[in-house]
Amino acid sequence: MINWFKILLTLIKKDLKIEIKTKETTVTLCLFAIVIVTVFALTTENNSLINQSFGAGIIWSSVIFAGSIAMVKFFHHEEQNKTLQSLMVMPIPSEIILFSKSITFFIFVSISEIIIFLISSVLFNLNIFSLKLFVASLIFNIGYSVVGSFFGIIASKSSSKEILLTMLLIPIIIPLLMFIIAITNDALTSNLEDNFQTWLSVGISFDIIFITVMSFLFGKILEE
Amino acid sequence: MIRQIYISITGIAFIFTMWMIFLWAPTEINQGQVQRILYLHVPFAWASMVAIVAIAITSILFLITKNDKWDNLSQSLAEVGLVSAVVMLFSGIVWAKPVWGVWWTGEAKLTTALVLFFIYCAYLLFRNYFPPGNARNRIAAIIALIGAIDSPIIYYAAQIWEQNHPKAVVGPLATEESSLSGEMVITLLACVLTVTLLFIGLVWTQYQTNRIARIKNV
Repeated sequence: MINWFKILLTLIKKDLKIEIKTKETTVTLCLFAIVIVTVFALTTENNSLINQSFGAGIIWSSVIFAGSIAMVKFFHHEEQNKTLQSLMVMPIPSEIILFSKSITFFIFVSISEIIIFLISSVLFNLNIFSLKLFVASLIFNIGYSVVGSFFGIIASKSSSKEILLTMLLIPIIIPLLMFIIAITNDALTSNLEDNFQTWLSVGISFDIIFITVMSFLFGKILEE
Repeated sequence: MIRQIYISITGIAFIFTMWMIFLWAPTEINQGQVQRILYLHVPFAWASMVAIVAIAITSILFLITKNDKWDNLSQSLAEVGLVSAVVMLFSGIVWAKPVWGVWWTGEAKLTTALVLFFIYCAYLLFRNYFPPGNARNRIAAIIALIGAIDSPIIYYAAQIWEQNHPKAVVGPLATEESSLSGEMVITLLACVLTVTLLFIGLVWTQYQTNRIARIKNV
């Protein structure tokens, strides 16, 4: 029996090795996100109440926009080097390709979030570190990486990658964005007990629905 | 010929509905004249919601049968659906300001309507940016399907989100339910029927236009 898990690991290792060598995606992601957070920090009054109200929006907007720029870069290389076409020739289920890309991107986004959280807490005087927020961020990253990888591969085949990916990705992840912003807002105002479980159900349902739907449909977008 | 007759019937129905809205239906006591906007807002909201469900169905049919007519129908539905969404959003904003006291709130239906508008935009933008061919049609069908699946999740998430946001307190509709008189209900139903006729007519026309454009491109 073929060990699909081993193949998945090999594909992830391949992407990570390329990234360690070039450092393009993570550097783009982190730098772009830091620039956005810094611009917000410079243009808003350093008032703790304002920061508590808008902090979550600023943090997650930076993650989303920086993430979509990094995705374009990541999948553009794949398209240029015809890596996807080569992978399609392999006798493996197409979902393995989607999962490998999603896990790789999950690692990139998680690294960038750690940096964004650190920078934001310094620039906005925020105390955002909590276990519940950490769990919520993981759920967000899973959904964002899967949906992003799915649309990233679609957008990489088009001439206007940046705008197309942003337009496809953001409307679809609105429920996920609401989930993470609501939880971050509650974490900033130390109100996490109120709606945590309800929001968690939204985040987890989104992930389950979209992982299922996208793994089912992924083969169709790769068909020639 | 059938299409011309259909368009004529729709035109007559539209004029008759305008008479009902502005001359026959009584003025609502609490909201005044501005309430008449709802006679157009509600039917266009209905049309834009029906369009996304119809696109999902035609997209599934396209993915199963690979017949180009389903893809053409999906495209036509999305184009008319986008126009309906724009009319719905614009009329909603114009109505909300005098009645609620604000142009926009974080209300679930409003958020869902706005995201629905973006989904239509994304679908049509994809069709414009992607090189024409079988791959484009297939991926467009997949995007439409994902958009349709996402719509109820957006509505659910927006409903929970709404609980965390202040509700509109200005205006008579903010705290109490409204009751429509008999004439108002008849006018609203007539408007829904007319806009549905208009919607079908526009999709039909757009379908023919797209079909000719596709034949020319081939």
